[in-house]
Parts: sequence; structure tokens; C-alpha cells
Amino acid sequence: MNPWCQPEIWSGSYMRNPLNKRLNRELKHNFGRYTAIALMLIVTIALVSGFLVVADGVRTAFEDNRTSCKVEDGLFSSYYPVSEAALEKAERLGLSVYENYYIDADVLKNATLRIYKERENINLVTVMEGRLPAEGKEVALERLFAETNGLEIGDDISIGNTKMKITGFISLPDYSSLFKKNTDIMMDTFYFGVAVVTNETFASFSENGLIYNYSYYFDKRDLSDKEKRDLSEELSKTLVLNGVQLTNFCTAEKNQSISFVEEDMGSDIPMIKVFFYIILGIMAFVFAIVINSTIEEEAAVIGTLLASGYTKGELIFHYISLPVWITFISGAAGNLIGYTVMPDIFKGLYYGSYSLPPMKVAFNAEAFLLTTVLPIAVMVVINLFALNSRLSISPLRFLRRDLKKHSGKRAGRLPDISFISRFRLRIIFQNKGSYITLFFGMLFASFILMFGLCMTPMITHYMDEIKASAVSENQYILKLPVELENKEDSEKFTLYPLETYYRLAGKDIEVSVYGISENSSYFKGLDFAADEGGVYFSDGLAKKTGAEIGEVVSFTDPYSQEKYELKVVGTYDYAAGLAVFMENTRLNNLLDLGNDYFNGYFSNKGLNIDEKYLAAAINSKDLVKAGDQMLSSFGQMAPIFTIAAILIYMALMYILTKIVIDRNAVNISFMKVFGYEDKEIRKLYLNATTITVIASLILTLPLVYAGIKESFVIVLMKISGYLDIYIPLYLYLIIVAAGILSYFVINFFHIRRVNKIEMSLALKDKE
Amino acid sequence: MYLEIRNLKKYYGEGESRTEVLKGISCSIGKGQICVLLGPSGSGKSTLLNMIGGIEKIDEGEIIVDGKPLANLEKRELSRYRRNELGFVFQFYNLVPNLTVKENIEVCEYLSKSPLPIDELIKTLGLWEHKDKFPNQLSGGQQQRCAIGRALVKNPGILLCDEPTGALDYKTSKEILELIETVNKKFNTTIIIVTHNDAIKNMAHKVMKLHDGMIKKEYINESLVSAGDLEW
Repeated sequence: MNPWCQPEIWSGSYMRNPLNKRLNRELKHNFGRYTAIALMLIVTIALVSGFLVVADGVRTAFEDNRTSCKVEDGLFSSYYPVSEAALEKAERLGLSVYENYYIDADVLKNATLRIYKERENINLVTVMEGRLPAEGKEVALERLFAETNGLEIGDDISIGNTKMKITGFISLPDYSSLFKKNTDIMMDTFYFGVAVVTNETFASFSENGLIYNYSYYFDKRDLSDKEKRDLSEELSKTLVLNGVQLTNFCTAEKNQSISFVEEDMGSDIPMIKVFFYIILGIMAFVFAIVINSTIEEEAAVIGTLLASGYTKGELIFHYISLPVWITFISGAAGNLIGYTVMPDIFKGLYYGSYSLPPMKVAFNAEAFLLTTVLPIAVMVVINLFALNSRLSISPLRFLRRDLKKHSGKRAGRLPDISFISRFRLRIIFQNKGSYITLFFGMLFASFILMFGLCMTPMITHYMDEIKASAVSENQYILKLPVELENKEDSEKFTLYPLETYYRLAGKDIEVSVYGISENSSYFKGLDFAADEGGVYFSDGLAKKTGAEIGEVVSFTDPYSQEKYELKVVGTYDYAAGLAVFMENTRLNNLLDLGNDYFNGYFSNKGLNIDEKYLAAAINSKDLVKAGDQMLSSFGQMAPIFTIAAILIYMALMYILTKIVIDRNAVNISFMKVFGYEDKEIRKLYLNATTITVIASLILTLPLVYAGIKESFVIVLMKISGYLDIYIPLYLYLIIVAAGILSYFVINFFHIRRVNKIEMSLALKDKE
Repeated sequence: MYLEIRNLKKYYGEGESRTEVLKGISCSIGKGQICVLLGPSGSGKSTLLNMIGGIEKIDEGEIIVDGKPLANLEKRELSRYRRNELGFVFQFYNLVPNLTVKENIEVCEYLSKSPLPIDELIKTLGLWEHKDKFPNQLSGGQQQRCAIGRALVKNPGILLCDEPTGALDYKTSKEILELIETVNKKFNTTIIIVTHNDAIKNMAHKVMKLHDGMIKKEYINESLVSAGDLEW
């Protein structure tokens, strides 16, 4: 064996290695830097691990609940009970149909409670707390609606003229998201709830408001998605052919009340993973910069150790130890917090938005791999790569602190500006790696902050847009054409739902097709005479689908599966939903409804229509409700995004800008020797960083806007409406102000650090 | 006298480990004189230089420069003193590595109200061809020339040189000493050189030999030798 090889250094003498004594001292020496790295890792790992654990737990509970509670495969409704014969024919297709009638009752202030009778065969109830009603004047409320309205078990709630006692809180598998209508842009936990009463109590409700709703359940449970869709289409056709006047037909897949949670989680989990990968990418650069800075600081030590006979491997092992230990400890601490503290916070987010069955926190192998194993692996790889390449130069060059490659070329000439400005430029060039990493870190933090803050003004703006573009104060949807005795300011219209393919999301979306009077006083600027048989798209629909004027767009009747090709001849400023407008006679003819058909009235003053003819009445209050709900849902995310962004700003600013001071500490000391005052040194060294930080913050803004725009394409895929990207100017100012404030907090520590650098440092530095 | 030192004492450490590094030094140096401080390591010569430079605190005694005592100056006043009166030249040049030759000299030009014309100075230093290079692209002698340029550009009253030739070869050392001599003659700058090199004493007007914190020998050089004729 080669006598110069000393394998025991690797195999058994780690603990005796005198270099290990330096680890504690290095930790103390750079305590701030390592604390900031650890803090950022711990918070990120805690957030991601906690989120993934909860999301996985919720998904498991949700999927189990769907099976055990036998959630429907679809539903249909009619204004009148469906005949036994039609149902029998439908069931011959290979499915079971269950009555699932309900009434919508007005409760509390402006809220609607959808009341079902006991469920025995389909969409079974899960009792979260308390018990199901056992006798008259008792009701079990869906948990989320009760919580958001401050209702407790034992409280009374007035339904119609009857006071009913709340016996328990429940969750219903067909209302995991509380959508009152499937076309609603957002679920509604304030103003819409679901409840169950005994069969006797249900029978006592007036038939006027009764909705004849049916749930269907496929006999074969192993159908593919396509087979399920085909069977549903066949069911719809069969019902129509057998004289059923469908008012609603919706598969579970398209029913937002059932599918929205899954879709939301489906995008939440990749989103949080992308968040983590970005942070990890930024941290990888931070690790590389830190290790480079350590090598520069330690050049003389490294040179001496190499010259003394230490191998490159031993030095790599030494310098990699502390970062890996810190990552490992941060991973452990992050996971501990992720499994203990974070689940309650994330459960709050899910259970505060959705009506879900109870979940359990369980060990999540994927989260562990992602949040603990991966960061350690990245840390090891980056450090190995950086150390291996930097330690390849000769010991002599380390001793001479000659770590840079010589090019022999002259330095880049700087413009003829003041000395101070050129000095700062040199500092910026010297630390370009740190500043570039900081730029991307701030870009990410600014994006998170903007994402968190822009929702409220965007929703408010959307509500204002809806108000501004509202066609009329009231819209009445009728069960059948009813002529009014007192017509007031009313105007008839035909409303029919069609579906069109939304390419980005890869699914059909429902569009309200309005047939409007040729000389409508509610629609200004629609020139039906010149439309050449085409249609007008609402602005939102055009933007969402990307349809352009002149394009022919396909639509499908969700009930009869008839296909229609409609040419877009223009857009109309209407923000309340995804809509198509055409002349009403043409729509009636297109759908074979008869020339004089109509099923709705526009009115500003309000109309007195008998409830038995009324399918829905929409007024400005509904708008307020939707706005409140959206603001509440997105509003709770804002503090989390803000805290995360500020943390990223501060941690990265601290780690990366401190490196600028550390690597120039001896020069700063010399500046003091030459007669520079603290203020002047700050002007040279700290102001270079200040200028870079402020410039970076401003430069990130257009990129943040582009990022938000792209992200909202994904966000908007989930909701059945369209929000214009609206970011008011003050938000940009807030982003810059938040970044600058974070920097000034960090800069305060840097100023103290610069002031503390003593002239003796220069005198001790004798190479 | 331009520079007067009276009973100067300096201590390091506290309690039992307190060491007296300078044990009551008194001397004076006239305007435009070159003074060489000789002595073995630990004799206190660098400490004395740093105290004249306002970098080390005066524990006892007085240093008076151009009639102004340094002992009670505040941090800011000491900065002003270094800025207006002093130029430093170190053994290892200590140039700012990410600044070019010209920019390194500008570091001190910025501090002066009446700096020397920088381009002329760079030409005098023989660095005109190298003015846009970074320090790591220069030889040791060129780096030391640059460091001297940086110290001189302020046109200081006193140039403090701590082993200015310690890291240079014989030929380059002589070139640097010639440059220092030229500066002394051209600008009438008072120059204090700390060195181990005994031969340098021959170009100095005044020589002080320190030993164990005290002046062991102090004399005026009657037979000056020009820097170019020095040999060792």
C-alpha cells in the first residue's frame, strides 16, 4: 500500500480531525448568515411539508368519503316531477335514479338554505358534530355555513315562519364546495348553505319552491371517463325524448359542488411544489455564493492546509460539513413544525373554504423526500461542485489569494462619471453573482407579494365592472313563458345554456346564450341587423376562450347534445358572466323553441311575478354576495403571502448583501486608514447595494406583472368566469416600499457592521 | 519641528498580561526630512508608525504634528487628520483588487481638496501604460508604485512607509526607494520609513534605531547617499 495514503482520515478519525474544532467557531463567526439560511429553509420546509401533509390527508379523506357516502355520478332537475315511465327507461341504460328533491329557503339576512330530506341511498350525510334531526322542527346544518354565520348546535334558525333547532353539523359529499348554481363564479359559504331535515318535516314544506332534483348512479363502477360521459349523454337524450323538460343536467365531473375541491387541490399541490422548487433553486445559488465567499475568506487557511499535506477530499469534507448539518437540522426542524403547527393553519384554509369530512395527519413520504432529502442533496451537490472546482488550483495560489483566472486583458473601461459612481459600479461588478441571485430572489418575493395583494383590488374592480356593465337591475328567469299584466319597464329575453370547449383547461364550459329583442332598450350598441347571422361574445368569454371576431365557435346543447356553429361578429361589455348575445327570434329558431318563446325578463324597476313561475330572480344583492365570498376566500391568503415574501426579501438581502461587506472588510478597514469617514464608506460600499436593490425592485415590476398575467390564466381555468388582470398603481408602490423597508431593516445591521470594522483589521492583514 | 513626539507610551493587554510596547519615546522630525526607523521585530517601530498615523490610540505622552497634538482628537478628527496630512505605503501594497490602477489612486484623490494632477502623477510613476489594469495584472513593483501614487495624490505632509520594499526584489526595491527620494525632493514631503533593511538608513536625513520599545540610537545622517547608489 502506498505509505502516503492515509485512509484512516476517511474511515475512523473524523472525530479526531482537528479541523472539526473550527466548525463551531465558523458557526459563531458567521452566525447571522447561517441563521438566515436556516430560517429560510425551516420556514419553507415547514410551509411545504405542512401543506403537503394536509393536502394529502384532505384528499384521502375526500376520496374515501366519496366512495363510502356513495356520491352521485350526476344530477338532473325538472320544474315538474319526472314520470315513472321516463325514470324506468332511464334506469334501463345501466344506472339508478334517486329522488333528491330540495327547496331553497331564505334564512338569516340574505342567505339561502338548500334543504334536503333524509338521505338513505345516495350522497350520504357525514355527521361532523351533534346528530341528525330526529323529529319535526329540527335541522342539521352543513358545518361551514353554520360556522361562517356563527350558528351553534342547539341554536334556533328561522326557516320560513318556523323556528327550527339545530341538532348537528354535517358534510354532504355532493356539496364539498358550496356552489348555489353551477355557473357561479365562486362558491358561497356566507350566503349559501345546505341542510337536512326529517322526511316528515320536508313533506310539510310548500310545493311552490320545490325543485325536482334527481341523482343518478351508474350500476357499473369501473366505467372509464369517456364511458361515463357517453352514458350521461344517453341519459340526457332519453329523458328529453321521454318528455322531461330538463332545467338542469350535470355530471359529477362538471358539477362544481362536487369537483371543485379536487380541481383546486389538483392545482394547489403542483403550485406549492413549484414554489418550493423555485425557493430551492434560489437557495442553491445562495449556497454556491456562500461557499465561494467562504473559500475567498479562507484562502490562506486552505493554502496552508493543502501545503501541509491535507488532501482536496479532506478539505471538501471539512467545508461541506457545516452547510450540510445546517440543512439537515433545518429539514428536521421544518418537518417538526410542518407536522405539528402547520396542519392546523392549512386545515383552517381548506376547512374554511370547503365542506369536507374529517382528515388525519399522517406521515407523507413524498413530502419528506421533497422537503428534507432533496435540499440536502442539492446542498451536497452544489457544494461538491463549487469546492471541487475551486480547490483545483495550486496551494501557492491560495496562499497568494490569487483565486481569479488571469485574463491579461485590461479591465473594462467605465464611462466618464464621478469616481464614487465608478467605485460603486466596480462593487456591483465584483458582486454580480450575489446581486443577480438577489434579483431573482426579489423577483420571486415580489411576485408572491403581488399575488397575495392583488386579489382584493382585482375582485373589487371586477365587481365594479359588473355593476358598470349590468344590463338591468333585475333579471327574472321563468319556468315557462308567462305574459305579465303590468309590463312596467320589462323586456323579454330567451336564456339558454350551451357549452363550448375551453382549450386551455381541456374541458367544456357553460355559456349563457341570451336571445335579445332586436331594438332592446337594455342592450345598447348591439346591431343585430348588421350581424349577418353572427353572435356577440361577452368581453370575458372572448378573453377567456381567445375567440376573435370572424371566428366560428362550436357550441353544444348539454341536454340534447346538438351542435351549433356560431360566428363571432363582435364583443359586448358584460362582466357578470360568460355570455353570448344574439337576436331572440334567431335563438328561438336555432333551438327550435318557436318564434315567440321567451323565458326571462329584464327590468330595472322590479316585477311582481308569481313564485310558481319563477325559476330564479337575480339582482344586485347577488353581486354583493359573490364579491364578499371571493374577497373572503382570497383575502385569507394575503397575510401568508405577505409574510412569506417579506421573509424571502429579508433573508436573501441579509445573506447576499452581507457577503459584499465581508469580502470587502479589509478594504473598508484600509479606507478608514486613508481617512475615509464611516458615512463616506457607506456611500461607497452600502449605497452600491442600496442602488442595486432599489433598481432590482423596480426592474422586477414588469416581470411580476407578466408572471401574474400568466399565473392568472391557470387560476382562471378553475373558475367559470373571467376576471380582468387589474393591478392598481399603488400595489406596485407597495411592492417597492415593502422591498425597500425590508432592505433598510437589513441595512441597519450592515451600517453597524461597517462602523464596527476596525483599522486594526487592515494592519493585521499581512498576507 | 514639524513632528514632535514626547514621552510616548503604548500598552497592549490588561492586568497581568499587560505589555508595554513603547516605553517613553521622544523625538522630533523636521519638515521635508526622511526618517528611517530601524529595529528588530517587536521593537515597536510599526506601533510607533501607526500612532503617528492616528491608527493606534495614544496611551501616554504626546504626538504633535505641525503644532497640533493628536492625543485628544475624536474619531472624526483623526479621520480628518489622516485625510489631510498623511499618506500610507504598506509592505503588501493593499490595493483594492476590483479597482484599476487609476481608480486605486482616485480612492485618495477623492479625499483631497487640492490633489496632484492624477494623469501627470501616473506618468511620473511609470504606470501610464498600466492605468486601466487591475492590481492582479501588475508586478509587485508596479503595485507598490501604484500604492505610492495613491498615498501621494493627496499631496500629504507626511508619508508613512511600512516596509515599502519588504516584498520586492533588489532591483525593484531600489526603483521604489528612488521614487520615494524623488517625492521627498519634489514635494518636500516628510517621509518616515519603517524597515528591516539597514542599507536604507543611508538615504535618510535622520535614523532612529528602536529596541524593546525604546530609542536605542538616534542620529542625523551627515553623509547622505542617493537611493540609486544604495547597496545591500
